[in-house]
Amino acid sequence: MMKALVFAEKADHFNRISSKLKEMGFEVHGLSFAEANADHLYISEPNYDYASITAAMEKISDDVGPDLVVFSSTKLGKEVSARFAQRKNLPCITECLNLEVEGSSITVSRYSLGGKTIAKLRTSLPGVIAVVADAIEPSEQSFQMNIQDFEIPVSNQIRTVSREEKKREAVGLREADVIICIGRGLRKKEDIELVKELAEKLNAEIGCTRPLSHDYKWLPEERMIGLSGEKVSPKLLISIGVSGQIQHAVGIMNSKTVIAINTDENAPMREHSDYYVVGDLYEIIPELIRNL
Amino acid sequence: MKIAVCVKEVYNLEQVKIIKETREPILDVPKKLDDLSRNALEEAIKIREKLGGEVVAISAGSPDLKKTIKEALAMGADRAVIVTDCSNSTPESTALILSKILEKDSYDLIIMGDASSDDYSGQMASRIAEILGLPQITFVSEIKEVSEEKITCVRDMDDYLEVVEADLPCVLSVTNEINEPRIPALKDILKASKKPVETLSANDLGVEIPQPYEIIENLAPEIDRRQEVIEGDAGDVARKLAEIIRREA
Amino acid sequence: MERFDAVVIGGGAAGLGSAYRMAENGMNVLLIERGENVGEKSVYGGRIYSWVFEKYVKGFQDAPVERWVKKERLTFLDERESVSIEYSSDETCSFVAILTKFNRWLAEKVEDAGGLVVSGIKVEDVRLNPLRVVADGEEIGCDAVVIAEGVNPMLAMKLGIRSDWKPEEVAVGVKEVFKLSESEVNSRFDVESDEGVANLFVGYPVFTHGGGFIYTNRDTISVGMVVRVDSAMKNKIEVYDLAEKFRAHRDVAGFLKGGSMIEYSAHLVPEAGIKGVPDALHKDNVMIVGDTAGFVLNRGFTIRGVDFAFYSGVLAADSIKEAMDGGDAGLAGQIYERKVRDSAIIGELEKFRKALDVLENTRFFNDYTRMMVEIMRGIFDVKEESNRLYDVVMEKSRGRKIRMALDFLSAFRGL
Repeated sequence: MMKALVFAEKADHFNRISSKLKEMGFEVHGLSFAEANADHLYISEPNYDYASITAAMEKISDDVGPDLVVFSSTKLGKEVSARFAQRKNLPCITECLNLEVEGSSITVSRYSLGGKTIAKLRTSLPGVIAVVADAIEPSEQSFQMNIQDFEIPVSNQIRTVSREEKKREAVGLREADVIICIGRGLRKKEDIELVKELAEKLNAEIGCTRPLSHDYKWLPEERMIGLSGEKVSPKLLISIGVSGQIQHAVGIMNSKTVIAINTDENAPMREHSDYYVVGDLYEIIPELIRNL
Repeated sequence: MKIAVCVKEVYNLEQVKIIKETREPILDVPKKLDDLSRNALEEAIKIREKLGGEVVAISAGSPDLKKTIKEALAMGADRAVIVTDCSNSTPESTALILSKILEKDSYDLIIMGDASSDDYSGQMASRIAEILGLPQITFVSEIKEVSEEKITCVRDMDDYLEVVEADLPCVLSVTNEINEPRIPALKDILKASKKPVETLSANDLGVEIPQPYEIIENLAPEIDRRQEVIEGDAGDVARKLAEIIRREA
Repeated sequence: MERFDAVVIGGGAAGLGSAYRMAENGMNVLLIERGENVGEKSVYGGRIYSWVFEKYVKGFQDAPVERWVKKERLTFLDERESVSIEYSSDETCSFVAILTKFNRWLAEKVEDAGGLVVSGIKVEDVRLNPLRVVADGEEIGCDAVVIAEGVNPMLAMKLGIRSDWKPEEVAVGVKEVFKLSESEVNSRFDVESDEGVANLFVGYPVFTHGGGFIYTNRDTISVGMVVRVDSAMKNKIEVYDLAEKFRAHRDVAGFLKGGSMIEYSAHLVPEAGIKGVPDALHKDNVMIVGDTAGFVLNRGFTIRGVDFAFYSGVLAADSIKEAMDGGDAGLAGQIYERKVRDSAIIGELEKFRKALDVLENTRFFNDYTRMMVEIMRGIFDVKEESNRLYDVVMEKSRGRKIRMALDFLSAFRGL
């Protein structure tokens, strides 16, 4: 039986990945910071230092001899996967959306060309991949659940001075039935109030494009929809003042119906819309609120 | 302070078109210096402006690099070392080649973007740091302090912000929020044309390019939206929209 | 202040020709292009006459030629029918290229020869005494300036070298590129992989000054429409609508079937022949070349522009060199004036001065095109009875024989 070795700092990510691997027929070994589903699991104190985790994975890998080493494609996961792969002189593919195994090779899909395309890549095992855990639908699998404690070796390549959790609102973008997504067509931060009014009428969550969350900081990062943010799948997505760059469009592709309001008749957003309204959001939204 | 900036040429993605019928991308478009490489360069130039020293742009890519690298020189890199015979590069091969170049000099800092905007693979800093046996600070959104010996940075991670420090030499990867890259003026571009560019081949460096994967296909996802355009005065449009919303929500 | 022997403004075929020639001659030349990439602003149907590149460009065999034109086709269209005349030969004097790509290649040749090419920079002004180019707030000194800014002569107008175009002197062209496969192009046009077709169309849907075109690229085809601006204005024609109608015609649609449009562009084309060339092509040591100078020749069935553009650039370069070698760089403008007037560019434009009058006659685009189609229908429409060629021609030309005779005589002499 082929063996997989998993590291994910979040138990939820770990379980999604391990269920997928189990489904594919792997014996699943893993390192995590909390109890999670695996055949053989090492649990350690939380540690967010790449050098320490790389060293830990190296040690476990030398014991287990995995065919495939899988990380969650978070920032930490990507960072460690590449360092680990280089140490073991293995190929590594990050940001994998899907994986299939055929004999001694693995095929993965990932976005390419900035999200314009999806590339399918095949590499032979042993290998390393980092998987976007949220792209995996978890399944019920039964595991041996051999669990043991593990002490991660301490490294001081870099020293952590302080760590501060980002203040996160609980945002239900992923579960929302209706989402209103705003972009740079909004002129100023105060105008979000107008959108909020519409959102309340529709019981909708508000999401945004990257410039609004990361450059202007009008909304928190967890509301960002796109390639490097949330990928959503509501029944209805109303896109307001969004140009529709592919990096954003990737995040809304699973929406059932998309309505867009844009002043530019030929913005890329049009291609990603079922209903494309050409007009001024400042005129249309108040009218729309009145009509609902 | 001697700073190397690893930069990447990418297709001008805005110009890449998709053939509707086959969903294949048309890659016959000009290349440019990647946006995140510009962020890395900007940060390096700022450090040089403060501490003095040299900024060297380093890159591996296609023969087009001879042209694209000029953008790095125009931004303010002092010189460049490029390898132009690795068009079909992978993170594995690029890391090997760039490390060979980096080994030839002793750099205090090696800076790059946290990923490239085309592949978004994000492996380069880790791989190069591992090959060179250096510490790495990835996803840097702010450099708090830098001296000849030590650097302190803010890292912007998924769920937390972290302040870390490391002794130099060290490898950094920066996010695109770290700065607003400068746009070179004509005089910078003219000056850039006189800056030295050393052009090498993978062969010169004794690197055999590994091909660890096979690309089975690379196609645009199917987009199948109705694209029904609604125009008119705000009142009419709003009534139509309200109807659609009631039906779909 | 930075200094160059010469500054070339504009990275189209004319500017590149000039910069390339100067760089080849060891001169210190700077080319400034306002587009993000050199050649980006160049829009052209596709067919280029090769003589000038064969004569002046080293390594021309490596140029990004899509296909060599082996078939020339002229098609008369009415609403539903068409008559085509085709000339096919193994000899060729022209090729189809995608001008943006071709110009990008030329820019590399300029740089390989030691010229400096800068893009994404707009030249704001050219100042005389002493000669300077102003861009990005910087002044750049030089002995000579070559203005190759294309059909929109901002700087040339500012300097008073030329006036703006009148509506009857320019045409608006639209071009669409459709993706097929190389083998599809081969089979649809019945050509081998390196062979191409240049097909010009007269009549439908313009029926006035202008027409359609199809050129075969390697695995795409360029399709478009050109209409003179005054005619478009007079008849309230939207060239976009025309292009759509043209594309849908049964004799055009077949070539495009299943192809997806991957590029769309629109551009102005000088159409005034010799009448569009200003009296003086220089002011002091500032010279105008290519479209800016109006060096485009339309004979109805052939259109020359790119070869003249490149050639005029070469002539400007040679003039600057000659003046510098002679010890008085300031004479370059005058030398250029003489060289162009003595060259094939003005020679050809003069030779076809009459073509302008012929093509002014809208009957060629409408009445005679329809007549040609009707005559063919008359001959080939065989039911129980058929028609004699003589009867068909006589009937179709009834009441207009004399005017026709005169028109065709003038066409025969002029084109």
